Amino acid sequence: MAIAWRYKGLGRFESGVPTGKVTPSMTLSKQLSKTDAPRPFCNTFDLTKTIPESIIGAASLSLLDINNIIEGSGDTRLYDQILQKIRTMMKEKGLSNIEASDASEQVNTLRICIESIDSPGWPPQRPGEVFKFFHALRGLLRSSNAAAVITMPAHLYSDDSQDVVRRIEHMSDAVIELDSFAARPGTADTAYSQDYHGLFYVHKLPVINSLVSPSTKLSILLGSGHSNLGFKLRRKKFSIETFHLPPEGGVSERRTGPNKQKGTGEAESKIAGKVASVGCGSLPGKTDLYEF
Amino acid sequence: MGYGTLDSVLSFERSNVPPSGSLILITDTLSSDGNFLIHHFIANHLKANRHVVLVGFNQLLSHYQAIGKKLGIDLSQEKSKSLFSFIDGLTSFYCPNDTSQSASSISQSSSPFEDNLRKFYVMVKKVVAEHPVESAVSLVIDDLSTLLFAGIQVEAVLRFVKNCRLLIEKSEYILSTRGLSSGYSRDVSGDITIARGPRNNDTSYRTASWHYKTVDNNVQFFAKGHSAGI
Repeated sequence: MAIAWRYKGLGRFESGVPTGKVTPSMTLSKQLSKTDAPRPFCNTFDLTKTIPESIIGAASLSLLDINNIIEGSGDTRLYDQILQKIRTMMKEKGLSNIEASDASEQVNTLRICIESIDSPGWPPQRPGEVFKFFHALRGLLRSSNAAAVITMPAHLYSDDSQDVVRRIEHMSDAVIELDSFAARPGTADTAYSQDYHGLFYVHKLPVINSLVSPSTKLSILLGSGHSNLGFKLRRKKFSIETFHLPPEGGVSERRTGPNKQKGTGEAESKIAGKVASVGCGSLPGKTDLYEF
Repeated sequence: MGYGTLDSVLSFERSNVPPSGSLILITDTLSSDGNFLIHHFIANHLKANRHVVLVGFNQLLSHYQAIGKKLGIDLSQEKSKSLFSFIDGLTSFYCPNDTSQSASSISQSSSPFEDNLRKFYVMVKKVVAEHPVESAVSLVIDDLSTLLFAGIQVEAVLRFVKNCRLLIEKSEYILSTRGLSSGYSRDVSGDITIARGPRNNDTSYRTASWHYKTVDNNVQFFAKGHSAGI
């Protein structure tokens, strides 16, 4: 997902896609400084669009298929092997900070995406192995120009084994959680489930080399004291907003009594108007710095 | 240097440094990272000209250096004066060489990992020994739970702590940070409780709880409800 957003930003500069191993987002910032046009980064991300093949072809991408890793070596310790592969990749491309010698050289960034780590689709591993993987990966990331986005199906862990997830959260720099209403029987048919698809939690923000998380200061969404965030997924966009309860009697009343239709209709359009101007939330009339 | 308001809250007798032989335990939760307290103790110790050995399981040296600069201490300078040593437990704990080695010994259970811990202890011991014997060395470990979470038995971790000699299974002060129970606030970052540990005989000490607010180069501690912003 994160990579896809970056590619989307590149779409406008399609003519200038470079060859070689320069990663797309690096190219983007280079182009920006040339043209001097302050373009908002990934301002509109359209979920219905796909990444043009030429961009994918030009980017340096590698895929690690976990099934191939297992079959290829016969070794069952999957996480060690993934780490080893990432390590060699960093070495080959000179991404390690420790080995970097020339500061003037163009620095590339390695972005690692791991989807649904330790989900049932993965070969079973000894408990604790995932945590060691996270710890070792953190060490790798700290000493190199790399970032990782890892998703984990936390809802598959029962309440008894919640500490597995909690431990991994402790080991990560940033933790966000999507809590869908549809997944919970109690909330699936409530009034607010019409407006939002779930709750969005920010559990932890990165505090690398600082006492306070930089994003706490910058984000209006978080800085204004709101901790109630909701998300909705539309056909074209995914948006995160501050979560409000709908007006009392909102949607269901409209269906039962035609007399009241006008009143609730107004309320609805108000909500809709607010959403349109707010985008991903924050204060009405103001656009958030990190709006997407 | 350390956080002035925390100094007055803790009120140690000698130059804001905990008495020698004592152990301070810091606990935290996901919503309130207790890491900022470590910087307080590192800064105070170095200011009092005491030696510090920092074992970092979570961060690299650059992290501590960057924050140290904001607090007014230059860790690399202290390092060259050999007042300060850093042991990297983040990248060196899983040595790349180990993967090829242990690949041949899959049948072994969790013991190779605890072997790592033993080797690591030897390393810590060596570094501590480099500091002069008569000087009071403070060993700061950030953080122990990493070892527990990584599947090492509690006993093994305790043994590690015990072997570090400074530490026993009970502590004298327990500092625990929590997120605010009322949720996120702009003026208060969290809640800290400073309690007397089981081994502390200072009966006059009362457990107390404060609010704190983290800013760029300092952390302010204040009695509940006395935030400047409220």
